[in-house]
Amino acid sequence: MRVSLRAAIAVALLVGFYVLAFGLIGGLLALETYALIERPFVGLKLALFVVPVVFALVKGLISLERRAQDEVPGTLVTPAEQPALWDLVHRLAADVGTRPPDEIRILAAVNAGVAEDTRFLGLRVLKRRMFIGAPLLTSLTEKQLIAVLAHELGHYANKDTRLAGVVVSGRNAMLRAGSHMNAERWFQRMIAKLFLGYAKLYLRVSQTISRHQEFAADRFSASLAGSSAAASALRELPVIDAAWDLFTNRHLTVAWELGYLPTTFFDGFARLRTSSELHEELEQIRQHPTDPDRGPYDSHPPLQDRIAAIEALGLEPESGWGDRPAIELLTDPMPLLDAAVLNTLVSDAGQKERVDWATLGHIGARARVVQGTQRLLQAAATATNQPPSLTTVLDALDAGHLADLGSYTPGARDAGPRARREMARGEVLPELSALVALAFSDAGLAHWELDWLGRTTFVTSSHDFDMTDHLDAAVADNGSTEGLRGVLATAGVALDYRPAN
Amino acid sequence: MVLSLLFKPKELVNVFRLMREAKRLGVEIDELPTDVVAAYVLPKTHPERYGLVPDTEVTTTTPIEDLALAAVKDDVRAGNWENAADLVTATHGDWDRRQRVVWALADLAAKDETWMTAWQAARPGDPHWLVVHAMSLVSLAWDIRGSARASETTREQFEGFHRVLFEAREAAGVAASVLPDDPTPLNTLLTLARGLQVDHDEFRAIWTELVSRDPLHHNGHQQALQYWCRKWHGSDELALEFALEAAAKSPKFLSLPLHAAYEAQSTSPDMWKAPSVVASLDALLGRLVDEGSDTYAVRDDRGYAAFGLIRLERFEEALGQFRALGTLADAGPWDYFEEPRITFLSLRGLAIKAVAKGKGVKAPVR
Repeated sequence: MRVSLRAAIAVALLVGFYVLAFGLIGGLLALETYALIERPFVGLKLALFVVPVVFALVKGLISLERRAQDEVPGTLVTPAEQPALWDLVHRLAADVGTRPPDEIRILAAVNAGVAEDTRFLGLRVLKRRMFIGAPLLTSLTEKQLIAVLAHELGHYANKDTRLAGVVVSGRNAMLRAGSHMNAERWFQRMIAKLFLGYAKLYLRVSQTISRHQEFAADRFSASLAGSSAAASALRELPVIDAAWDLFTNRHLTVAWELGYLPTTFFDGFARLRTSSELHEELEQIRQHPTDPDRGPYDSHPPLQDRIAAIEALGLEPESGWGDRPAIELLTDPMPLLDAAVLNTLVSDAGQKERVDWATLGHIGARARVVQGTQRLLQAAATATNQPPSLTTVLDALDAGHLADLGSYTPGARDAGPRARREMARGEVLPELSALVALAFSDAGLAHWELDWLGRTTFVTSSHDFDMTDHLDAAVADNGSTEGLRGVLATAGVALDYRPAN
Repeated sequence: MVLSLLFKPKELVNVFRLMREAKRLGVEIDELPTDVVAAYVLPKTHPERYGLVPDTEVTTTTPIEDLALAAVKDDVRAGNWENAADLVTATHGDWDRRQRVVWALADLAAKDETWMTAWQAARPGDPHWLVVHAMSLVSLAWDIRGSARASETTREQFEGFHRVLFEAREAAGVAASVLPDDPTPLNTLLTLARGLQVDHDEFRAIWTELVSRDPLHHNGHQQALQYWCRKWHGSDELALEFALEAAAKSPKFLSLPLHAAYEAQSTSPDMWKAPSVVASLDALLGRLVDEGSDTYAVRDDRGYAAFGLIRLERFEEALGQFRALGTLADAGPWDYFEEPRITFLSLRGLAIKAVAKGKGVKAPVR
């Protein structure tokens, strides 16, 4: 079937959706009126059915029209603030043959897109917005960025698929169909099912169009940026995604719960992207790009197929586009990008204390270590009936309470006390080691360093921190904490030390 | 399981009877005492007509075989280590007995090693202490792991298991170096090789070392067979190959091919019928004719022989083995099961019923 015919069917289905809904409402109301006039008693009984159904239908229609109440995400940039970026987008829109967006917003996500505020299932457009992920701006070249943006604008170009723009908006609206229904109510649930069934039919009809559109949009991106930049942009996206994931999970928010954020964000991301320890891993992803999980109704063809198709086109870039980093399109980029990230984080992000990256890494690592010592401190306090502290733990060990400091049970039902003690040794040793490290760190003799892979190293200025033997002796049968106490005293660590959170 | 019962009316009737019994006793059907279940599900037979002891007399309790060992175990439980230490020392040279003594004491030490500490303090550097110590670490490791499946074993249990097995390997290495004639620490290494997933080459090196110290080490051959089984680090074929080699070396190991066939039941059920396995079984039967059933090792051989004979439908000969075993259901293969006594009785009952119907009475032509 030709795509234009499919598109026509898809649009007909969209219109049909309203015809179906209004037809049902009208028919039911007509039936009810007729019944009330001719057989009032039957009409009253019928109303028990008609009224909830009409109510549910109307509510369903309203849910389609109601735009999400949430704020539009991202940081708005005006043409006055970022003239070069706006110029580029205008030129791309003209080349692609579509209307430029009304707004450009910067997001803290590895994504770009054009979205429209629509009415009547996308049949009427109110506002067109372009979203650009901040990590893309810092990681792509100008040409690669052009490839990404041209693809997104290409979805709205109506050269060979006249109705396709409507189809795209329709898809998005259809995915919302029935989402506001109250699933507890039987009628509403039924109507929601009806809507959903219709939506699925629509999505199936439009699937081929959407796939075709992805390839068509890729053709725009290749013809503007050139095949090689367009393909390399597609290869780069999973790489940026992986790096951004690592950055936000292991670095940006590493001390979030303790109330800390880094002073600046994107300098850290830039350092992470270029760090030597990450190089190999990122290169691996670049060589073997995999598709992100975009949900069951996503229309994108597999990434590998798209890359192959783009390369097969063998198109040269339009002249005038540069190979410079995309970030050079922005005027004073760092504050803007950092603001975009801060906007995306939850509202109390503004209250966090801002510290440099090294401090942040130490604080985050230390907090994890502190958590890992709480159990031992409590167990020792319970075993000896003393306040939880380093001394209490050492006293408990000296008093032969090792088995009581463990929490795990051996697997054999008839295991003896020796097995319990042995398991406790395995559990207590790393916790005690962490506690001693904390004591050193809090005495200002050591700190933790976080590398960009997210691994922590314990760094100490104390020249003989090798405590292995002392720690082993502390948890050994008939062992002693004497050696450990000696080292701690020499270092000037207070024995009643207890880590603060 | 429930559906398949529908096609077995007799078993279904038993299930109904058990349900009624459970209701009467006020418990779930799964919680019924074993004896109660046994009374319903075991075949109704007349063992006495075939010269066998009645079901009720069969027991899993092993009679004391080594009086001296039993005595020192009591001593150890009472906190006295000297006699135990002396017994271990005295067994040097009698390798199979030494293995039994060391393992029994190691099991005790794995529960509580106070007496071992006292022994070490009183006789520092005693090489025999090292031998028991190394084996006790293996027992300790298994106590920590337990015998549940991997999926039901916690990460901490696995970590403890491996950590202690590594210690055991080190200790056994030290013991082997101070007692250059003693195969016992080598057998400890052989035993823990399974848990540490030692590869074939390394395992063969340990094996060579063991058989150079005692070519016919009884437990060593059993441990090695386990290693070569499919469920550990070998295959059905490797296990059988090893077992047949051992059986060719000494009549003492004639039952090992039966062990191999038993271990391979789920994947190679026909191994029982392999000519080499049948030949080993026949040779074993010949050897067992005048061996009685006084030792655990002989009862173990008889148990596997009986099991194999039933698989080969030579029921009358199987009854002969049960007759020789008498009341004792303490050895293999019954000890593999959660309810060794019930397994023993149900297989014995099966053989009796078959013989009563005239099946498997004459040994097939060989």
